[in-house]
Amino acid sequence: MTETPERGYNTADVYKHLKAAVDMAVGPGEYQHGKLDELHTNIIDYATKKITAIRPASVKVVVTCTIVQNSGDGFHISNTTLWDDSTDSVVTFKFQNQSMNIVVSAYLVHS
Amino acid sequence: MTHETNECAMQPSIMHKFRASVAQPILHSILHAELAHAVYMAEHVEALGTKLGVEISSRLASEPGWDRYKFITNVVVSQPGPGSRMSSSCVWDSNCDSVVRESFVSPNIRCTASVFAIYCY
Repeated sequence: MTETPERGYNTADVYKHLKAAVDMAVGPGEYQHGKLDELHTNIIDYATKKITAIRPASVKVVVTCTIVQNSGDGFHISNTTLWDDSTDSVVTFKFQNQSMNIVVSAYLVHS
Repeated sequence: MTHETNECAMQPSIMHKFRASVAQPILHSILHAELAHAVYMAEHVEALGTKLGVEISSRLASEPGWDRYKFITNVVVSQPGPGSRMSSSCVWDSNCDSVVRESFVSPNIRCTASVFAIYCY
């Protein structure tokens, strides 16, 4: 995890907020398709609020959350970015329990 | 009389704004071309995801007028079985930034591609 104070934020802090968002929302949860909405909303809202607060105004934030049922079937998530590596960052947090896989990514783009 | 180019446009001109109506068919054609006969195979899925992401972002970046846009392409490839859901939230300038999504589902593979286009002032 690189420290990037010159960008106006720290990717370690972003990671911390993503992790906190998932930990707070999931608890001991099982995958229930009906509760997905609530889970998504909680994670995304918390993460967005916290990350937006720590970044400078010239940085735009995109937070994505993908939740996949842990059924043994395979899946793969990839990000491709066409941007400026010296000013933009992506931070990803992965979580897995018996019933679900959660991948939360925060993209911070300098504009 | 001298003319100076404005290098710091606060917004793209209407013709150069990223539009989902233009981007969506591009995504659709790429996904269908690559995945129509694809079968999910764990050893190849990483390369497939990367290939889709690179192809999508380079095609979109080469569209006329979108050279000031930065693109974030998120590709989720899975077997058709598990339930899944993706959500996102964006703190940006809705006058010029946008997202476009496209899915492809077949009995052998499932794929969703999302592209976030962010304007660089």
